[in-house]
Amino acid sequence: MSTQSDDDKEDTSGRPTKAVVGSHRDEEEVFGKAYDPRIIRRIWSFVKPYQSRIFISVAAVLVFTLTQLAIPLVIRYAIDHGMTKGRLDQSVMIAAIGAFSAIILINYAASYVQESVVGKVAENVLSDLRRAMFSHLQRVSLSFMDKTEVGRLMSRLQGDVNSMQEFLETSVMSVGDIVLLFGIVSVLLWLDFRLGLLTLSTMPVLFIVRLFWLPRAKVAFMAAHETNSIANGALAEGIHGVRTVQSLERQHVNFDLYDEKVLANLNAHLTSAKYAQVMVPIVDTLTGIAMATVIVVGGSMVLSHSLDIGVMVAFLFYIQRFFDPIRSLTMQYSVMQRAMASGQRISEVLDVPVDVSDRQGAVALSRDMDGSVEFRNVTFGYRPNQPVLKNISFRVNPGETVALVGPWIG
Amino acid sequence: MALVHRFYDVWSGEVLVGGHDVRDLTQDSLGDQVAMVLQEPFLFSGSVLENIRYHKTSASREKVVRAAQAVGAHDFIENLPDGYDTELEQRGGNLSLGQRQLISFARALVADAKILVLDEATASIDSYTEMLIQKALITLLEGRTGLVIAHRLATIRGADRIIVLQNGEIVECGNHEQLMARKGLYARLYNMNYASFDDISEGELELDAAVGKAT
Amino acid sequence: MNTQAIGGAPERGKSFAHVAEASWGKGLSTLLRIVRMTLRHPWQVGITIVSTFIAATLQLFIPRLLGRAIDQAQGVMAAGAGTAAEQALWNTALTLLVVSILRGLFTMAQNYYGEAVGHRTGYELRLAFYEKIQRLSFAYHDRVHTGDLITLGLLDLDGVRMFFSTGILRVVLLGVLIGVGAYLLISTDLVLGLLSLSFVPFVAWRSSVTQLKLRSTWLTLQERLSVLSRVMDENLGGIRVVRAFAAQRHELEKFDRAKLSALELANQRVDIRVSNTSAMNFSFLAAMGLVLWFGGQKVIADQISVGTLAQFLTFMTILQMPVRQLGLMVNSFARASTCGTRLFELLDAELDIEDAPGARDLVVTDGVLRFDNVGFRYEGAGDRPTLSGISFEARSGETVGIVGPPGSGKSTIAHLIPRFYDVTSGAITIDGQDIREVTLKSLRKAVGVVQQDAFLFTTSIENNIAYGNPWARETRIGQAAEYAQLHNYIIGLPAGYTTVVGERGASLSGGQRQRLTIARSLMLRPSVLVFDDSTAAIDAGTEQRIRAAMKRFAKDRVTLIISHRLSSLMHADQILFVENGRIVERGTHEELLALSGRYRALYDLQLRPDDDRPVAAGAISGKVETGFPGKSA
Repeated sequence: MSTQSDDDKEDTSGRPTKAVVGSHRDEEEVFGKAYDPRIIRRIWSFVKPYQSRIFISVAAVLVFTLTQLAIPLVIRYAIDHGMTKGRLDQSVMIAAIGAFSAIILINYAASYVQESVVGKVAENVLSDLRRAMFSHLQRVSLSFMDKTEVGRLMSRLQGDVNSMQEFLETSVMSVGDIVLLFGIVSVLLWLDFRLGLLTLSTMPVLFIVRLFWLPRAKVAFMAAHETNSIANGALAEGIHGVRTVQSLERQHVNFDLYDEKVLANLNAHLTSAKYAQVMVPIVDTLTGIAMATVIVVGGSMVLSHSLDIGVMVAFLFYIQRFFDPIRSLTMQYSVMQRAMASGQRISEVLDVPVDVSDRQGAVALSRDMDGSVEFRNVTFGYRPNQPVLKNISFRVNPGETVALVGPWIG
Repeated sequence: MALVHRFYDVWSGEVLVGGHDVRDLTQDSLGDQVAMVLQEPFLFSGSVLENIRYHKTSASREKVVRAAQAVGAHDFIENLPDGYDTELEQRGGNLSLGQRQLISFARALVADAKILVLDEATASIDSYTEMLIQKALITLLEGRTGLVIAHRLATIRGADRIIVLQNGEIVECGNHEQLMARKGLYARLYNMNYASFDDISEGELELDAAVGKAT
Repeated sequence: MNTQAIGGAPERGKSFAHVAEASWGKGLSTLLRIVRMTLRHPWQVGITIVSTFIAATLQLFIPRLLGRAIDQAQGVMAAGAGTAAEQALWNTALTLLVVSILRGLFTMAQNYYGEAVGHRTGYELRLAFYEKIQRLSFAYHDRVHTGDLITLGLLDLDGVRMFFSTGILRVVLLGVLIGVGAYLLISTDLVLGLLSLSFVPFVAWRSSVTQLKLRSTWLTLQERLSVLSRVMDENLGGIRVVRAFAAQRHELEKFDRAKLSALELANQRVDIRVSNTSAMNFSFLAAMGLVLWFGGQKVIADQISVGTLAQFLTFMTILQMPVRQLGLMVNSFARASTCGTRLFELLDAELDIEDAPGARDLVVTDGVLRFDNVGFRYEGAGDRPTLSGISFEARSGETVGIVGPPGSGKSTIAHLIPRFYDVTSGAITIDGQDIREVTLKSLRKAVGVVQQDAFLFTTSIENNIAYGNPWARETRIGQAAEYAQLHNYIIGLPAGYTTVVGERGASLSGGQRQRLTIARSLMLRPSVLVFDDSTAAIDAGTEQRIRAAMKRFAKDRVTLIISHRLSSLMHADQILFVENGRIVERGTHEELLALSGRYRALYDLQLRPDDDRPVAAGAISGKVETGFPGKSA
């Protein structure tokens, strides 16, 4: 071995200074503003061709929600008018069951229509979006294409378009959720105003808690997501470059570095799980409080005959369903943010100017043309102020072969 | 170069093809009549047949085979597991650089355009394949108008006319004998005796110029 | 003339296909193995299972309490209306509240620890996977496509990781809910109990079948989507060719075809999914209707109270979601089974290149490299050996040149020295030590191979150069870069040595990449330095300067130069002409020329003194004429 005296002895204890696994890429903005009208309009232009189907599915969602609201009412009706002592009535029961059957059939039809229409429209819009982007890219200037990594474009075409899919599919559902929420509130208040108000008093608490929770939770979720892609990037690099790693004996160093990254990911996941789960007991507690309220207040009202038992039953049913739409609406909020950010990037692609296009009245070059090429006083460069050709003129006659030579021409 | 195809627009002056300014022509027709062979041959996944045919889907199999034969690619294609139907890996990964070049030549041949613009590859290929490529080049250029950005001496010597550029300007023009007789830049480069002009680095050229001045 | 990638290109996706046909027994043993892995965290698993149990049981109390409350409200249970009844209501209400809170807490524990166990298992698996990949030999990596490995490391690993929370826990949850619940209900009222549960088998069956169907179509969909993405990727990457041939329409047609096939399948999947959820919903509600009717009759007939009816209805509501998730549970089992089998197959794979037992470190004294009748054949390469009877010897300070037609086996020689592959016959020794008997680590630090198409990492230039020696100081890195004639270029960059090399070295030209690779190998100060056609993209002049710069180095090591360019190795102390895996000619440059054999023929092809033969314009002879590149250094 050669003996370079001074720097032969290197300190190999401790952390290697020049070792890295995986690359750090700037994480693109994952969450954007929740609502950007320009982007909405852009996306709408793709949805527009299917708008009649969208209307159908919105109508179906409304019908579906109404059936959901109706069921406890039918039960209430059956109980109060058919089953309570002193009011036993078979005909009521039959009517109730009849109504119930009708409702569940409508429910079935509505849910089928709504989900399948929305699902398919979403897939179609996605496809259209991709195609529009792809065909646009066929015509944009080459200097844009030179500057842009293929990987980036692919992530627009695939990843970003996929976030839009999630958004489209769930946005119609969200309409349903909102209606359901308002529906439940209205029905409760209608069934018995005082009881309804009392029961609903738990709701604001939930909103306030969520308000504090959301920003922190989001940070945790994003950390989990980011550490995950970092770890995965390191793994991919380890796979692609494995031969080099083996030939340079970097396995140990890389393993330690990878361990760090995966450990960081593990911890991020655990933190994010904590945030995700901490809402569960809160929601359960609030549900419990609401039900307890109904039991005590409603119950005593029933005892004092100021309330029908069926109403109490209905209340209990509604409460059990109450927090679901709230939960899915909160999730929808972040889906929407992600979709907006994606929408922004998609718009950027669609807005890239088409540099070189056929002029008005362009003629098609025919086969009978003479096959000559001529440059007249051409000046050009790839970068502004750096001309590669300066005032070049020459002609290539038909059938000739002309060679262009010169150091470093391109 | 890129300008003939209007990949970019010129800053000033005109580029004319068949007597027409390229800006007055439709891009589609331009692409049809002017074939281009790039430095880095880019192949798509799909069979060898599909790659040679590319978008001229009307081209028959015989035409493709004939083109491959003319170009010298036929032999190695036949040696592939499925011959012409062998599926190529992404970007043609299972072929060597030389083989990919030959296929892109065959592709240009099938395209059968009147004008051919060729950007010679600079990476050195093993001598055996290089021989094939040189021969293929002659075939390709037969009966067509050719604009070649050349690096290999053999290609350059064989051209009808040679245009020498330096610093973006035309400094010499003529065929091989004429330029040698002039004893100018071309003659100097040629006398450096490299297989390819590419092998001449900037420093050497300056050195040589300095030496030339001194003598 | 076929220069296939070493060992042949593997077919994507087929590497693990045989696993899909694995037997039931195998799947079961895989699942057990996963369970054993999770049991490495006994406390957390214990907490999770206990929490699940308790949470599910608590949840079963709720319908009971609600039912009781309703009856109490009707004054059924208490002796009469009045404060006693109110007291009872308060009791029930508070009990309910406590139960709810506890249930929430235990569910939180269940979910959190369930995920924690999963993530920890995932952590261990990831490390094991990474390590194994790094140790599997080149032959393995030739066989298995990198895309498959990535799928294995990401998707399959996830399938295994999630088994605990989505598979096992769900079994416990559903077991308790349905099992205990069924007991409670049926013991309260047989008919109603059975009716309440009537939707369970149907939903369970339906959801499982659907999930499995969705899963198989998902795989097909992924394939079609990857076709689409390949069309897009190639188009964008090769946009110049597309434009050059004005083939946009053709490309769009390709795109449309791929798009339509994917869309069709996607829409079918929507149908499958939707008809399933609607059917499940419907069956649930229908069962509810039956309970309402029959229960109502019983209430009218005074057999049960309204509260009891409410209890049944509430219980059904509680059961609805978990039962739907039965399909997901079945899916989780199926997924874990196939994913696990694939993953474990890799983790269990035998290493064909590893340290022999009792291997010692390589000790280099004189630096003599010797090939002793070496033969080699790639796996699955058929009958013809890639190399046979290769023998030569070189001492420290000597340069050996290896030349020959493509496919002759030259590069293989380079791969055998650091034991990327093991020889099939004969032996390679360094200073008398068989390379199979020394530790890989010491061997590879002593042998540096500079490849033509080397992989660069997406990090700074200096990190790339120092890749084999990450503790190196800047001075040494700079020195290596200087020898490789790269230093001047680097300091000309705005960020100098800290400039980040693009993805796989994209921002550098071919020549610069090769020079960086050379610098990287120089950093090792290896005893054997092999250049495997690694100067193809470097012009002859720079190549000579590199060689001159390294003359100081050459005296301390054996240098092997493999090239098809004679100018790269004409100066070698001995040159080997390899053809069809055998050395057919050997000697110095002059000796070989005198032989007038293959070497001579190649020489004539590449480098012949210019002899002024007039060439007619437009005609090109079959030979390429040049002169000696003898100017510099």
